[in-house]
Amino acid sequence: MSIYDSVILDYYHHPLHKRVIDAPDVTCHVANQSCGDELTVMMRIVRGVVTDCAYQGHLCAVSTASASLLSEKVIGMRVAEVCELDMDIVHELLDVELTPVRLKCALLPLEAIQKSARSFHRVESES
Amino acid sequence: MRDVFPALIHDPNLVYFDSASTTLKPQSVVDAMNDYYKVYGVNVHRGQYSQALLTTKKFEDARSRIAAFIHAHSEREVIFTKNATEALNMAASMLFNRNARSIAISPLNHHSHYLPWTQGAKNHGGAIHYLKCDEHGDIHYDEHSLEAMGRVDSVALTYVSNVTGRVQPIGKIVESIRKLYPDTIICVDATQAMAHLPVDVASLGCDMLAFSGHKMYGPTGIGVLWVRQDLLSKLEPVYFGGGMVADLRDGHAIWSDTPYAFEAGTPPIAEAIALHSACDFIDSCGYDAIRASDEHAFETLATIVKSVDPTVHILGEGSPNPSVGILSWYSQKYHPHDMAELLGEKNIAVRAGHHCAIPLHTQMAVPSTVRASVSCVQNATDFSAFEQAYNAAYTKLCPSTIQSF
Repeated sequence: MSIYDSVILDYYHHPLHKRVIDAPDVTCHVANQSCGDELTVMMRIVRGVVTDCAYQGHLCAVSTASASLLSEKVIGMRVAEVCELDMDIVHELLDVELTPVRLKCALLPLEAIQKSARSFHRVESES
Repeated sequence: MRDVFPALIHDPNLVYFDSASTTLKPQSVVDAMNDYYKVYGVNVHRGQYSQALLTTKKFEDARSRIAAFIHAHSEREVIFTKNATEALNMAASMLFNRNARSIAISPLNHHSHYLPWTQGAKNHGGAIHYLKCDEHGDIHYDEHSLEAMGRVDSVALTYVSNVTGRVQPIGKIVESIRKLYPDTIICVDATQAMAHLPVDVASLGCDMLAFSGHKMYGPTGIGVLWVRQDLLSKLEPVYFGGGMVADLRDGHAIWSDTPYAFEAGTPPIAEAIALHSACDFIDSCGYDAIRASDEHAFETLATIVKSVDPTVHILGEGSPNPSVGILSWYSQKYHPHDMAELLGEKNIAVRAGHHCAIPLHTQMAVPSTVRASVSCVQNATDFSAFEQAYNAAYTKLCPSTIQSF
């Protein structure tokens, strides 16, 4: 089955959470130089819980779908829980077989979300 | 033409537009490789038995064939390497070891003709000058640009870009450099040229030239570094081992004659014999026919790609230099990875990414491109299949209600 017959194309055409958060508590930019995917993740965090997560950027269909589903997933999660997510969550959410190259695309939003969460976690621990 | 390529007999539905990555191999080349292992099978330059002498002759005949193919003065100027990357790394190392400290490169250079020079300059405390390219990715070589470059020890030039596919006027560029700086050593990457146009090192006037076998219908695992004899006699090897030393006593080594001093270890014997066949194959196609086919291919692919999306940016389009049938394009409407994957689902082989040419993509201000690249295997059916698949992929990625990604 083509990955483009799955939810991937739906989210590519109708992405979730592809918007701007005004005055986010954390923001993080990542890029995959080899393909040009890049995104900036923004989060609002209240008492250690992610209350909002959004992103902006130029992304392929796979990374758009991943960013959409991951943003939806982490809203309501504790920051510490977000930091502990691994690539299994991406496989679970996308539910398609990806080649190694496209898996990199799918993992980019997870990298951005976790970098944001970790930077917040670090600031909280230091204060 | 398809029926001379075993890969296309094995997969008759494959529409192969990735020749800049590697060319498919004709049966004659596959047979030549197999013949070494089935008939000859022994080492070269070492044994004195008849099979060894026969195999050595076959191997050296390949060297002579390649020397003649590039119009080298002598086969002793042809060094076998494992690919163009190794050849270019070797060239750079040898020149840095000979105290080259100022180098000029251009954004047109593939990473294999960029990094050996920049890393070498970094490791040896040298300086890099970046030659400029115009909006088509063609090198500036006017007097003003070369005066801005100043006198450098070496210039690393690209004959044909693996992104724009445009043939740079290397002969004229070399002449212009020599007029101002007669002792600058000029090294040319001819990897994307060999399958598409005659390469004549004598008329080009350069000092070093490199290419890979697998991008000219030959096997993987072999490349060539050609070095003008009077320069080669002044260079020191950078790989050491068996076969390249004439005497070794008390730790003092006397190198073998050229080119053997630069070929440490057992060489790529089967590959060299197969590369000989690849040269024969190209001659049988004829460069005039190849050139006509390449230019037709570029125009056809460009028309298809622009027909649904006139805003698409085709890198190098508009250049006055001829095309070798490489089309790299960027669209605001879809991501290159998505287009390449959808084409791949229809058995259309293209490549997406930066094609080991980040500097050129940066200069062109595009993050990555889709690249279709031809060789002699294409026919009208391939272009029809590409058009159908491309249009379907475009519709899937860009339904009329969605404007951009």
